[in-house]
Amino acid sequence: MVLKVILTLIFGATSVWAIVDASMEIIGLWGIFRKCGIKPALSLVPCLRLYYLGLSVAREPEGWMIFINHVLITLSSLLMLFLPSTSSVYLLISPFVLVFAIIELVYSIRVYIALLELFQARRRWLILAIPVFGIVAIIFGWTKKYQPQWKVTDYQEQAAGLSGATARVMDEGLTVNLEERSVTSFFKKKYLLRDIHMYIKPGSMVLLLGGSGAGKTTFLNAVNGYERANAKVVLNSGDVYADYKKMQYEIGFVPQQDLMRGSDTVLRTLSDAALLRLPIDLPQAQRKKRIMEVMEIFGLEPVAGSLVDKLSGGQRKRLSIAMEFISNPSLFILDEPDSGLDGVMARELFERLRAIADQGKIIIVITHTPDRVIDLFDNVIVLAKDANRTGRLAYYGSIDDARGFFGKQRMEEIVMCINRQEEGGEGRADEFIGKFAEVQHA
Amino acid sequence: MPEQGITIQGIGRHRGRFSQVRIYLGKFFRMFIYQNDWKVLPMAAVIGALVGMVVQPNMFVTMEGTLFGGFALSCVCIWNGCFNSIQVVCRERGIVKREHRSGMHISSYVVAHMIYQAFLCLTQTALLTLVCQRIGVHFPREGFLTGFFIVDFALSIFLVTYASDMLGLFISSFVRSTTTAMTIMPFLLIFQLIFSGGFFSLPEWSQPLTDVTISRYGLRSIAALGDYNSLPSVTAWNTLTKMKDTEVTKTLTVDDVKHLLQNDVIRARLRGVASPQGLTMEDVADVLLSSGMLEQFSGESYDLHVQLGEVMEAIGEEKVQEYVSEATRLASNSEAYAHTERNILYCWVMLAVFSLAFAAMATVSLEFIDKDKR
Repeated sequence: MVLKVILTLIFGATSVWAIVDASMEIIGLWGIFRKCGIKPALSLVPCLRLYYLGLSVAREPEGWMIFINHVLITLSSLLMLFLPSTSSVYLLISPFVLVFAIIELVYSIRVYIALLELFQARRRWLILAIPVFGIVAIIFGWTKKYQPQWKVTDYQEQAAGLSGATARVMDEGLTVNLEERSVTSFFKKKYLLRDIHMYIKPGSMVLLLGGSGAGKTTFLNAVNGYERANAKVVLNSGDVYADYKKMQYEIGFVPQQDLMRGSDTVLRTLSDAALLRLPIDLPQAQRKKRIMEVMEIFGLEPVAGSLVDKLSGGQRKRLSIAMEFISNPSLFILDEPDSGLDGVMARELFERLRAIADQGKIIIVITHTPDRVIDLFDNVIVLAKDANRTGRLAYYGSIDDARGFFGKQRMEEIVMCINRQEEGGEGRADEFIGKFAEVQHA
Repeated sequence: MPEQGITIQGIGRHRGRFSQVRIYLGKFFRMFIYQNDWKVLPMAAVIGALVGMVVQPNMFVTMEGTLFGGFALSCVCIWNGCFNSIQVVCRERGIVKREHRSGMHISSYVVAHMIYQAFLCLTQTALLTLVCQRIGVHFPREGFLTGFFIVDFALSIFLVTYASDMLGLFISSFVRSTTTAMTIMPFLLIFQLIFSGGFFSLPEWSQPLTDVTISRYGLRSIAALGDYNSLPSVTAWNTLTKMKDTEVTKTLTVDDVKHLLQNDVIRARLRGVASPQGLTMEDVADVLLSSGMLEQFSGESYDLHVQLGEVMEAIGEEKVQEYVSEATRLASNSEAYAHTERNILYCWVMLAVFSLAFAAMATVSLEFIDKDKR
């Protein structure tokens, strides 16, 4: 029994074939880890070596899943060693072991595919890898023919240092001092955003620029207080986080998708939005007047009685914005309001937003086609992924200064310049993050 | 752009939970009319009719019919309830998140759903009850708790449907897509069916699982309302009548016959049977025993071939039926289906508790909607 327990702990099973396969896997992983820049000795650690296999092929979440399932299978197998095969607990555990094994297999296949891509091997290797991964691991780990395209150490390069700057809080306008926004995934802390400090004065229309995954939406969610960061966000002297219940009505957030119920009419949608967002003591006549006013601003009067489902893309977008604008917020945030709109409609929409900003509101907009409307913006925020894949502030200031700072004329060129090389960009994010940190510090 | 004619005080008192419930109720009823939510009503009637036709002959007539009917109707209710709500939150999760960001109280949203879903379940209950009655399900005349059996029955149906509805709402509150919700639904139904505790003999360890199934309390309340324990059991008798032509073979020795003729019980029976010569069969037996005729054939054996129907006829078919029905009824008696006020109320309370618990869990689950990954 003791031998069986030891074998289960080391190899996950007690059958001869399982022991042989696991031994080949250990030998093979030793070689693969050595080639990929991971300590080879980690291949000797039961269960955990599977996580490191995932890590070595840049499939860390899959690696965790395999690790967790393998641990569960090992624990279940250990428990089953001590139970008679006819006991109800044994019978109950058996199907769960099967479920864990299926999950592990699916995630393993994902990792194997990534391994083949890493070593530029053909997909047909998968046919061998699924039943006997040990053999494939030995071939990839110990033959010179197969070399990885990158190493784990390649993406653990040094990111730009923190600025240490802080934006001064003003009585009017928006001050953001965001230290970090992080998530914990599989027991590891991951920074989504770090070190973002800025002041935006009232009446500004600000463009938020950044490549895919730079943390633009995360930043906006942190600013509006819905997804909190380690930050202090002050809007017109009100602390957004401390007084969120009050401040949430001062901030309008228009999401990327048109999230509205299609079974309501335009008028009903706006009425309900007004009931939710406007103060309860506002007289009904004034509330109705406000609804009409907003419908006029966004050109929705002709379709007031139409169902939302029947509206065109542009009308839906305007309705979505109107729902937030109904409470007359001081800060108005829009996540890609022009997605799905043609150039003319997008221009018209941004002109409406410019008019709102001219009334003393702060407008922050994410758009992937900024150049067609760049003349309408006052400032630009540029977020970029640093070497650690954390969203950082690469620039905040006027549009003209941004052109000088990056040495690019068009905003889309700035995005290309800061995007990582594997994304088709120039990979200069850390350079500009560091440069802007120096500017802020000065 | 027009100048703004009014000043909006953004920082002020906003609508509380009760007012928001009214807003969302309005939204849900509009969805009922304009979207496809109303389709659950005819669907409930059709399913009810199909099941009603199957259970109609024996429901509330025999033990087996009542148990089977109660189980089938509980399944219909669970299906209706889950189907009503399992997609309602997840299909508009993005909208809920947006509105939560704009000041919507999750509790108001869930309470509005509870009211709206109660309306759906009540309507479905009325339809199902009406369909069952029209199809000819034999409802006992006298009610038990309310005075009208149909009201008691409808109340049970409603509570099972509503508890399932709230279970569906809870699942819908934590899954991210309608596809996931519809993938979970069959598992949910299978779990409810298997662990109802009425049909399948389950191992001891599964008892705690049966205690938390809606189907268990649904089946119990319907069977208890129909006075399951006092109904005749017909399965054993039906089987016996199907076996009338079955031949029974028995080898009898002359010694066996001698012993039988000496048996007091048999002698008492023979005493009442007259023979053609004016003697009783007991007299004939005495002659056989005293004459020593039987000793002459001692050790010999004879094969006896007789059909079960002949045996039943000899004893009296009605007597056999009475005996078998009574014996199987007593054997099938169950405390769980006791026709007592306490038992039925217990089932109803448990179903109500389930409904509230699932609604509470849905609220808690939705409170974390801001943690959704994009």
